[in-house]
Amino acid sequence: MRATLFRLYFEGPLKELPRAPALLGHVLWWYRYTHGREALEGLLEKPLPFRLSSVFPEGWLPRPKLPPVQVEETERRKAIKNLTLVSLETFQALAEKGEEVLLEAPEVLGRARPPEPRRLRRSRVGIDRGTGAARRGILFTQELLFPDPRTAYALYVMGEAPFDLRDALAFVGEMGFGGGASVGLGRFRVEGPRTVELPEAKEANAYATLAPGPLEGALYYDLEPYWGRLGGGYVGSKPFKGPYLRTREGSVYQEPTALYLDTTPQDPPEEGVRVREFLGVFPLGVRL
Amino acid sequence: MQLKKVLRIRSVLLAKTGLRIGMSRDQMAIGDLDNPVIRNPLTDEPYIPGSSLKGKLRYLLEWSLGGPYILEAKERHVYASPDPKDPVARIFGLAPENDEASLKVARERGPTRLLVRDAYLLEDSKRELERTAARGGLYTEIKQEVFIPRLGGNANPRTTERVPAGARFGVEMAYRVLDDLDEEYFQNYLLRALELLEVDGLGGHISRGYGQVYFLHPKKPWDAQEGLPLKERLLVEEIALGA
Repeated sequence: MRATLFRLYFEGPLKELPRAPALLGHVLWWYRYTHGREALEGLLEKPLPFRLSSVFPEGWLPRPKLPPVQVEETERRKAIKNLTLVSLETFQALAEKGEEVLLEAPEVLGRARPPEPRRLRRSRVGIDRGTGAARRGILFTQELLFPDPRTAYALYVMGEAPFDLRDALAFVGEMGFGGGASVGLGRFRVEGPRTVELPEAKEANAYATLAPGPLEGALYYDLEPYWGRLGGGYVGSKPFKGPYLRTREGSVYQEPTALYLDTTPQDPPEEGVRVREFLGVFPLGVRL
Repeated sequence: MQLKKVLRIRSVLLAKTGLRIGMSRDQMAIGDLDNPVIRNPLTDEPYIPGSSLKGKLRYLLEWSLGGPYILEAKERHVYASPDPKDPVARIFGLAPENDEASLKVARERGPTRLLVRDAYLLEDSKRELERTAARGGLYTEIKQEVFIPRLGGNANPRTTERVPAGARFGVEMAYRVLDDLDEEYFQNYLLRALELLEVDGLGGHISRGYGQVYFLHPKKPWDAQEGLPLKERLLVEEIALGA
């Protein structure tokens, strides 16, 4: 499948690698800042003409969720069970031939590993305004990811955004993605766009997704509950969206479905505001 | 509410005296340091977390404004002003209480205006600090201190790690301007907090001489900047929003 690739280079720590719905939210806040609220509402009236993937180390994709292969040997069974990312070559083989190919895949045999961000628990304290010393009860730790700033992380785009997506991503990278941006988390630099061919099965009869998707239409899937915060101009207002269930990257669908979920909190952040979550399958063909 | 512009503030933070921003450790080996500094796990280089810098700026601004910021800070929280135009809450952000009145104030106030990045050692500073490796540190010095019991007895030593005086870190902040009041607060409050930081200090043990810092303009020669007003030692640019 032909897609557009942007390379993201993280310039410091962050809480979580960008995933499609949250990254799209950041991009759409940029659109609202630069084009205004009415333009954004106009854009969201119709189905979006583009889809974003979640972000993965370049050259690696989520392992598609396919009917499992039975493995007797414990070590290999565990290696297959723990495998979350696969190389483009392995993905292509998986999409064509199913999980049998994992038995001899370099990722399972320990010959290939995706780059992994280092983790650091950073402790923070609250300072007592009276004494200037650390305040009792406000010592807490956060586990942060430190991706190597030289490692390219890939963001794939399907379709054509009706604005300059590079500008939007550069702004998001400048301001910081995700939580803790006001204390320096989530910064990245953007390179691209360039056109790439993503692996998929030739005579596909299903689709593996590179983005979290809706429950509707999912055939083989991993579920996750999601309890997101409001961002952009609503940071600091009542923070949570309505919770919902969605599928993880790698889940397999019959059709490349997409929908807007209404996740407006019971008490909306402003009168008349509707909060929506876009869940669009980013489809790579697989054969079941 | 509309984002009018974003200002990028860049400067170089010079540690005029040893700088120590510590980290906790999960476990400790025999002969290990008592008090290590925080390091980037990828490079093992010491750095200044944005949260440390931002927290100290907020603390100093609150003290300079005094009154409720000090007296009404609650057991686990900073002072939550009911005024949506409160400068501290606007610039540094404030998590609202979960009641209707606080939420209304938070909505009117809008998002945190100031973003403070982690500050990393400059390349030339790293080269200067490489010789510290010969004395047991990596870009740091190991300082021995002792506690002396007041009624005689043995001194109790402790080891503290700090970044040596002369180290320079690249500091970058972004300031979101949503309305005219934000422009005014940038001049009146944020710059004031940065000035106070130079007078006070950053990190631990500042009452014992650690943590004196000085901002330098990143594009001017270091030596020529001593004594210049702070405004002339900051590089403030507008970030293009892109559309």
